[in-house]
Amino acid sequence: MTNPPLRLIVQIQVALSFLMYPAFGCVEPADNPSRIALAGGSLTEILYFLGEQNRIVAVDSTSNFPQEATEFPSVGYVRNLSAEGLLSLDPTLILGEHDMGPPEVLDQVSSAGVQTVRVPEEFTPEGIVEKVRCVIRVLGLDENRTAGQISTLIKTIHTLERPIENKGAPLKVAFLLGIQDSGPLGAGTNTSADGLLAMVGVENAFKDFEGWKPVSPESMAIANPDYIVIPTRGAKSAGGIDGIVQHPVIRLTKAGQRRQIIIRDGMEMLGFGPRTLYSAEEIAKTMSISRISD
Amino acid sequence: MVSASFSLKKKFTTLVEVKRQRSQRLYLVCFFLVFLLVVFLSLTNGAISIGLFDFLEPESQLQKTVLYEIRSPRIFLAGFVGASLSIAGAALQGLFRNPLADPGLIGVSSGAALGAVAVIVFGSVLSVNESFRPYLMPVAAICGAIVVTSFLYSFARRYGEFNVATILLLGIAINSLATVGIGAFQYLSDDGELRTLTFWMMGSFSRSMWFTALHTGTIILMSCLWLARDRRNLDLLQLGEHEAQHLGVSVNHLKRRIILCSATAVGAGVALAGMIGFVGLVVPHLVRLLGGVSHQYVLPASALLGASIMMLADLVSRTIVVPAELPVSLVTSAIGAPFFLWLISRVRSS
Amino acid sequence: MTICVEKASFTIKENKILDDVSLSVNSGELTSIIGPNGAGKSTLLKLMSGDVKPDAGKVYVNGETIESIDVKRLSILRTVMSQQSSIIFDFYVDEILAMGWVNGNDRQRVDVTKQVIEWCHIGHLIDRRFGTLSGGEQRLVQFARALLQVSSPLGLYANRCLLLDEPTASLDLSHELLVIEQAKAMARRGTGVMVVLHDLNLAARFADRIVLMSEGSIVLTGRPNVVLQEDLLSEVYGTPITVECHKSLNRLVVYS
Repeated sequence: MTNPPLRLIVQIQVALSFLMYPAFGCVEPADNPSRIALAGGSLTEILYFLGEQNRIVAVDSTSNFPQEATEFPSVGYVRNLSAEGLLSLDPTLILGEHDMGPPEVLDQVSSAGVQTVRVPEEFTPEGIVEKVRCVIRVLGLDENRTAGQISTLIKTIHTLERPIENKGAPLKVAFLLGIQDSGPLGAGTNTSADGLLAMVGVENAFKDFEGWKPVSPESMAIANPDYIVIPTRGAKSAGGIDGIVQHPVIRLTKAGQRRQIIIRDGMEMLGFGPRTLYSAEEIAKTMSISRISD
Repeated sequence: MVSASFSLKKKFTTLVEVKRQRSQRLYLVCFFLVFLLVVFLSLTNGAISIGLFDFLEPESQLQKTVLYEIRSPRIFLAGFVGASLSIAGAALQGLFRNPLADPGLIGVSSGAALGAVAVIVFGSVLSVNESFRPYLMPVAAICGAIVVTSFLYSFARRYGEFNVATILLLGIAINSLATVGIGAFQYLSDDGELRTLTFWMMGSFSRSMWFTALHTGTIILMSCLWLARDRRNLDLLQLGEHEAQHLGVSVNHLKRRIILCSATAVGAGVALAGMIGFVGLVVPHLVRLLGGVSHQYVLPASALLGASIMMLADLVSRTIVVPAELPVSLVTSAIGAPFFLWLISRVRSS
Repeated sequence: MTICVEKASFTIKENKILDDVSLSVNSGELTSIIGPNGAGKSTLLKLMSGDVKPDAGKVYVNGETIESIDVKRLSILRTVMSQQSSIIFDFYVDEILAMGWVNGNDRQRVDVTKQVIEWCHIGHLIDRRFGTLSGGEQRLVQFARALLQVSSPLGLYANRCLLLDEPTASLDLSHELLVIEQAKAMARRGTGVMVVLHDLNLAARFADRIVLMSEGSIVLTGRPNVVLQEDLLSEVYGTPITVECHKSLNRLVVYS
């Protein structure tokens, strides 16, 4: 890289690539992507989406889709992998989400000669497409062969582009992870759920805080969401839809009074694999239908 | 006639002592053999199969890496943490003159955890020299442990000696205080930090690497050796604080040393491996049940048995759900909690 | 060898426990402190053993102030047997005895231990756990431990003090006598012995010197026949007390 004009070209390329794929670049093809241990549900989904599931040797505990993926050996939670466990499956590549860990374990795995690749993540529709492209590149797949899958995804994104409104004002939606005794755990900005809501085309009811935080009854009343979205597991432990609408914190909101609660699989909504796009589409449909009947 | 019976007893006194020392030595040898056996089992078992004697000469590069870079530091650290928790447990039980003083139960571990959690959450914003950064967490954990132990002790001094119930109540109070602190940090942490924290709290040796393991091992070894110097003083302390003073023990210095050393040993372990309960309680008890209560025997025996039990627990945690693993504290608690119940019933009935 | 208390006062929360007390323990002498409950006997003993510091006044050991002597050396100079203390962990009796050996080598310890076991008749207890002994037996073992301490290193009885706080509590008659006789024997070997006693008859029979205390002060110090006066004792104890010279035993007996 000592040649100045060459360096300039590279820089321009980098800048252009940022224009094309906003916010992040992508990784290089792997040396040998024939036996892959996956850490992250969305990546498992993407491999199935691309029809490359025969490369999988192991998945992590967040990989619950498709159902048959759960039959692979599980290497534990994506952030709590086991070095020896991974190595025992004799993988040639460990492909993980941006948050796989612990870092010490990944260091040990690399020192044993197994390549580890992290797929960048961004909580936007483009981020999902980029994730898929990234996996395609890591696997060294023919881009023409996968063009069809990419274009289906992009088509879905286009259908999502219009924001959902309620009599001129944006629809306010709260995403809750679950409802414990201490109060519901709500998604603020900079969370996967915030990205999902943006994708659906609605306003996050908790945009005044960052991360996942317990929400007090008062701030819930102030936020007063039109809809509440909650993962199946959280809904189950809160006593189903009846339990949720009767919960003192929820009861006073519009969502609670009109029983406008949307319950879907958590990994589907927050995994940011291809499914998340369909999930967002489905959520958007539910909301528009009930808006018309409102 | 009288003198004859006395001379019989004269022989007997020395015999009693010699006999007991011999049996304690025998137990120590047994514990050492158990220790060696567990080291061997730990080295040869795991997700990747390595033949019984292949560990001397691994066949493939992969086996070599697994043995020397993954399994060995892990076994090393597990052994040291097990030994440190057990010795600290034994020493704290001696200091508080209370058989239920376990680093976890009385809150020393959660104090250390609070310090470590603070570093997980705030470590990135602290402006410290890069070369010091790896030591940040152990130092914070050790400080947390020392604060809690000194607090406990000053509390004990002010309000008289602890009975079993008081120390458990205090432990509950301190643990919940620490939980509040940890909760506050959790609130301040972002999504990623939160999940790191949650898994760190569960305790695991999966993050062991030679670099950190050796440092922690050195700290633990030094503080344990320092504790072992006070074995006779710890015995004398069992007669009572004033009595120990009458017998030439500088009790205040002794207490400070024990608090500092056991908190350091526990804190260094907690910083790397997270919270691991019950080992510090169970091991010294087993040891006392088997061979006697004098610290000359209890301290080394606890170290050996504690190291063995911890390595065994780690072996279970990493082989039971292959290729994933269980948090090691789950395993120790599964063994320790029933033992603890049994212990309470024994203490209550006596 | 002497421990000397000079004009010492001690207060706990404005209660004067000791008020301007001066007293010394002398070599070769068995001094007994007597007096009703709350007279300050135990506190005086604690002052002498260095457990508590006087608010006013000084405590000297062989002319040095007690604070200036380090605990290790102090443990060789004076031995203390306190009132009841509990031991949580179950030591063997011989381990408890060995704890008394503060100075000297192990071979001497074995010899002295044999000697002390003989003196206190505790050979049958030696391989028992301390926790399984009766209260009286535990006291006896603690006393034996104190004798071991005062005997270590071997044979230097003359330069030591032995401070005993009610050593005869919860002992039966014969063991009561045994303990006090052994304390007396220590005094004959040259040790300065100070004993807090409740039993005035024991004091009358064995003490070389009696210190009568009342309400934090020393009322009278002297030989038994000087201190044990009917009027004085009756006043101090607040109950009529009779002192007689028993003809056939040829010693003072006290009863109320």
